[in-house]
Amino acid sequence: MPKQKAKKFNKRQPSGFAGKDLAGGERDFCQLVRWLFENSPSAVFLERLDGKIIDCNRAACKMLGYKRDELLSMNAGEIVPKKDAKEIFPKLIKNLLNKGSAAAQSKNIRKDGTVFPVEAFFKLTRQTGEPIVFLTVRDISHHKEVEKQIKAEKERMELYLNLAGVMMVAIDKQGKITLINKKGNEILGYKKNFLLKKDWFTTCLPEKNREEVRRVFKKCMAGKVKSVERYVNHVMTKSGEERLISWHNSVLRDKDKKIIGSLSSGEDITERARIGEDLSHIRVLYTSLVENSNDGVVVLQDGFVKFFNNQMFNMVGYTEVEAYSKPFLNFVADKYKKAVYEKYKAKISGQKTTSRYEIELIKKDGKSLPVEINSSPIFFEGRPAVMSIIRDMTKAKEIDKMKSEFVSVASHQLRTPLTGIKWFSELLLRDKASVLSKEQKDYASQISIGVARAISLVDDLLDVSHIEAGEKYNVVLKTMDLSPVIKGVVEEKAVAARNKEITVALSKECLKETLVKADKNKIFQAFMNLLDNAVKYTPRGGKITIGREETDGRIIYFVKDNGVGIPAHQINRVFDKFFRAENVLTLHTDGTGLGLYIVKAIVEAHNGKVWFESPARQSPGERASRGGGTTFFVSLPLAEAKEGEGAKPPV
Amino acid sequence: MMKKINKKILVIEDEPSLLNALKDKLKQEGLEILTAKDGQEGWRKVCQKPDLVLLDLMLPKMPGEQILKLMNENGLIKKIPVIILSVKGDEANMQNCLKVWGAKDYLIKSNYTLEGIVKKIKKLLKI
Repeated sequence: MPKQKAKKFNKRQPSGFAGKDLAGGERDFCQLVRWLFENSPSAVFLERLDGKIIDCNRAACKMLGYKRDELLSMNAGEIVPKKDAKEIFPKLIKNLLNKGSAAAQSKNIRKDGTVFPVEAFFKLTRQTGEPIVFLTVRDISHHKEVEKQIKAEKERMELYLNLAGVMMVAIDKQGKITLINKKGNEILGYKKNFLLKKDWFTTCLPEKNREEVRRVFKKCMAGKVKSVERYVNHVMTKSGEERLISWHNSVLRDKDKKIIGSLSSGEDITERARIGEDLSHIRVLYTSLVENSNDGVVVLQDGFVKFFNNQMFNMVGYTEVEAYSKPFLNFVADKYKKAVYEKYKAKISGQKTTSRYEIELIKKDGKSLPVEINSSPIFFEGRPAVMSIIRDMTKAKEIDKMKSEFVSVASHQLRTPLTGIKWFSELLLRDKASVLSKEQKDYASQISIGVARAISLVDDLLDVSHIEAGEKYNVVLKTMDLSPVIKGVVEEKAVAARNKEITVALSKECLKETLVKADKNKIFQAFMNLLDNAVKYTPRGGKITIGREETDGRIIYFVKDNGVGIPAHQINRVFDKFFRAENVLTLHTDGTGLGLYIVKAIVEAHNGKVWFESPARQSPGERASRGGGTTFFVSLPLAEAKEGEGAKPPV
Repeated sequence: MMKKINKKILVIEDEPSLLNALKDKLKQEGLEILTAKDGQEGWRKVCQKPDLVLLDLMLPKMPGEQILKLMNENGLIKKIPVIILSVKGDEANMQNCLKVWGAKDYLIKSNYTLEGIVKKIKKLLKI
């Protein structure tokens, strides 16, 4: 039909519709129908049952690329690829004849030979007498393409879903599972697709939380509550095991924004929760250990107090407000501040340093508190810190003091009777009237020796108890010349050395004037102890050398012997109280083990240092027990020239 | 036989055994002996002007330091040499005894033989 006519019909309501008198309007009606047929955007065909095309519209021609005349002389079979025709035609005809209509997807061939997918709707009509098939055909190439893309998209999505390490579950408004990924099936223990369409709540939740979760879900679906984004609850696996899942939920809406279900991703935190519980138990345990400890526990960071336990608060008498975030040095007695600071720095930077040492803290009431502090480096709130255990040493110190006092008193008391024995045995030995037999004189001599040893021990004990009482060992330092002291020591020991045929060589330098600040009696005692040891532990016929070296404002004396030496594995204990090396225990020498302890205390009270060298003997097969002799060194600071006071004290 | 020396030694010592030992030794050396068992007796006998005093510091009734101080205060110290006999551990006092109050020597008893003490006495008395 000419185009203009078509337009006219568009503009005004065509008459003849809707129950009007058809006879007159029948021609109009036919024209309308014809127009509709011609101008339908879909391709429309009229065919006989055998496929002969009776009529077709413009769109059909356009779709297939044929002219109308061409199509009117063709059979549908020429338009459909043989293969597809064979596939669908039989069923198609059957449906048509039975139901009167059918639909199919197939392919069509254009005039230029290109094949494209189509969708066709068939209606059979017998109105004109013989059966006519009326079909609309649509080119669904685009549609197919989109379908393909959607399928690919869907497959990709599924892949992602199944790769996900979390379970993903989508349920519809009724609570039926519409989607569940691989992980979800894994966790719940079901085979793929089993859970689809099942009720999430009855199938996958344990009874104990089922109703509550369902309630919350219903509320979400009703839009009454914003979807609970994070939710933790148990699910139940096929085997009845409960797993704890942390959910992230979102509400699903259709294109009209109506809620149609929910999509959730869930992480199985069962293990983590268990560990968390264990950790929490452990934390409770350790917290209570720390809080109930009898010792103070302190955490320091950057020098500030980060933590005190209860006992620490008790020990120093401060409150939390007064202590936290304050510099720890505030609580340390002045004379120990430097030591604490250095040790803290060393610990933080991982240097090796003794962990355990004694200091004094200052309590709130100003009193000092003797403590032992034992520190280790830790991490606190992600950064290096130091944790220290603080032990109150008051009691220990008291006991120590009592011990020292006891030793002091006992030694004192012992002295008198010992002096008595000493003098009386001396009187015995004098024996002017020769009343005693040789034997008796011998006994008296032994008594004399015995008592001398006892007096020596008691003297040492008293010295030790003074040292322990800690009053920098009572030295009164005056500038004096050491050379006569050295000489005096050697003279005093001359007889004992001679008795063992030991030569004592005093170097010439030792007789040079050597000015030091010293306490004459004490320094005499120190050198005396050293020479004593040298004589004691050098075998018959040995040699002792005493020398002196001046260096750098200091004077170093050494006492060198070629005696039994000091065993390598015991060199750290040599200056310990009562220590006697194992290689001398078998000799018939006596010794209290206090001599060197006292020497060290005396020398250090003189601001000096004492040390030794004891090289191993070079003979193979010999146990590393030395035997190459020992050299003890004493270094003291030199004094400037004497001030006016104090001429050389008499030796 | 030991010849007699015409010098009187006053021994002030509260410990009987030690006092006896000292006494016997000094007698053996031919010296004359005066003894005192406590500080008060000691001070009394000092006033009898012995030639030398052996003075123990730890005395009942009056400590040895006091006797020394008293001797110092009234010039006795110049005429009568004093040798302090002490126990170890009293060094604090030593300086004072020697430098301030004029004792001639300060001996720790347990460190000295009787012979050693006698030598000191003889040296001071120039005998």
